[in-house]
Amino acid sequence: MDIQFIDPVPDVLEEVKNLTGKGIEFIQKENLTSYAALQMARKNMPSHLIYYKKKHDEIINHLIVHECGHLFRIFKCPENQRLMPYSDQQIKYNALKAIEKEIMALTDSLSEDQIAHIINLWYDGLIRQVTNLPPDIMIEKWIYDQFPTLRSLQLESLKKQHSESVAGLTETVNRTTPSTILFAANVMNYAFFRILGFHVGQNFIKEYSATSYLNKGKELASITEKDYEDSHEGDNMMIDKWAAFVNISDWFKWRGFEDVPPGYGHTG
Amino acid sequence: MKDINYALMLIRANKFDGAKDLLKELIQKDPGNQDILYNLGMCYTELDKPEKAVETLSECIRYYPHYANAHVALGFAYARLANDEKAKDHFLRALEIEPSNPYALRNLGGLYGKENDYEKAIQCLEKSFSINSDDQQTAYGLGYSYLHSGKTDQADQYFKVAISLDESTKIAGMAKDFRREIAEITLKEKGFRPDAMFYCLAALQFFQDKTTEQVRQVTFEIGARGRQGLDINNPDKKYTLDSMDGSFSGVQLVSYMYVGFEMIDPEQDIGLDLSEEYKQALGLFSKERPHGYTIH
Repeated sequence: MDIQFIDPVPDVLEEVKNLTGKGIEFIQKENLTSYAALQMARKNMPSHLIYYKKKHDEIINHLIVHECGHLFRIFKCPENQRLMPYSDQQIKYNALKAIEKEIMALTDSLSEDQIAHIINLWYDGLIRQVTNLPPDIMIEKWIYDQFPTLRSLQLESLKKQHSESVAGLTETVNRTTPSTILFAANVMNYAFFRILGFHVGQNFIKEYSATSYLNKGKELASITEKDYEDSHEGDNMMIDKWAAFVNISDWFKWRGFEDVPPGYGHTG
Repeated sequence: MKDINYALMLIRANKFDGAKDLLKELIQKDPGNQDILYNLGMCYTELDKPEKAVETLSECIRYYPHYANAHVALGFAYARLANDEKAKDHFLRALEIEPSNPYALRNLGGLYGKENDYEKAIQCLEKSFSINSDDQQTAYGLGYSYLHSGKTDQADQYFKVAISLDESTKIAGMAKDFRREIAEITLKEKGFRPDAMFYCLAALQFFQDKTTEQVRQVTFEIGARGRQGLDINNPDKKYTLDSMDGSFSGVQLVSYMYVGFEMIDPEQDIGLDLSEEYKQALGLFSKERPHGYTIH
């Protein structure tokens, strides 16, 4: 493995082992959308897996601690109360069917082939956002508060994420994305960056000031700060609240942490 | 802070054991809470602990004697303990409180069905279904009750509805089996079927130069299609197969399937008796073989 860990990463990895009873195996993988991604070990897996890109920079240390944050949250919950969001073809079909008119309205800007090509990206992206951003808020706050040595890398990482998110405010994206998806994505991004920006002392929301997502974004941020119970259970309830707030409650379901499809955890 | 909403999330994800543990914790802090007691009782029933369910739900209705759903849940727990008398008392009590409670009606209908009183069962279940038409159990119960009342057409309709509500469930599988039984009853109620005999003959000719694998493909595809339901009383209704060109009526397909199984696995019980028709077709097949003809 060619990752150069900086403090406090080795200690955090040790804590993962102590809490979960399993270590982390690092696996190099090139087709990742970030420098690193985590696969949490289920009962039948000997270790958690962190996939990482060969070409990476120091930010990977922040990403690893962030992923460990997810592990800590879920493994502190009693085993029979752990839930994970999931989707399948039927759920996806029902979700996209509900916005069929919005999708068809895009045929002025996009060909049907183009729409068919990006439809999965829209859906998967939005599900990833709604099911990750709430716990990510708590994890980033924890990193900022607990690990001052990581703050500069954290900020770099958040800025990278922020620049990808504000791309959702451009006219091109506005013209080529179904309104339900665009609205949900931007409102959630606003709430995420508002809360975290205030926490880490950055103004991440100035790009949103003249947009129609401001009021709903503020409302979502307010609900989040008021109601968040800092635990895995709290994460899941907040995910449900966010989904309801942006009208995508039916876009995913919940199942037990161990109820994963056959083949989960195969590294091949 | 623990939250009942999380217990409800666990219940929706069928994680009853986790929900039960959480609800037990919550009831310690808030004894007598209606929602906690009710859901805890439901979890015990789902976890196959009806005695604990009766205990918890009885406590719930001691606090809230007019809570109709708790009476239904308690009745259901008693039914699990085979105490049908007490189960019925609670379903009836729920209906006194809330005359249109669809779950009380459904469960009471189920009990009448168990007592072979299908007329009353159908009354209750029809009323329940008119209020809650997305309920698969009620649709299945209606199919079952109509079938045992000899009303196969209505039974078939409700089994079809039950399947369409969620094809992935065990109930849908049972409804499919009943539809196959109904198909057999309907097929044979007119006695010997000359049309089936001619289709068996056509099948014998069709299969004669096919490999075992080809026969198997056609036969199994019809079998799978049959699980979805084939209309064998309407010759105008046509079906197509991937493994065989053309369009076919329901009775034509079951005849091909029967012949196919006779060729590849005669011991297989396909729940459909065309033995007489097949026997006659075999007789004709040996006579007609040099010329051959096909019926579509």
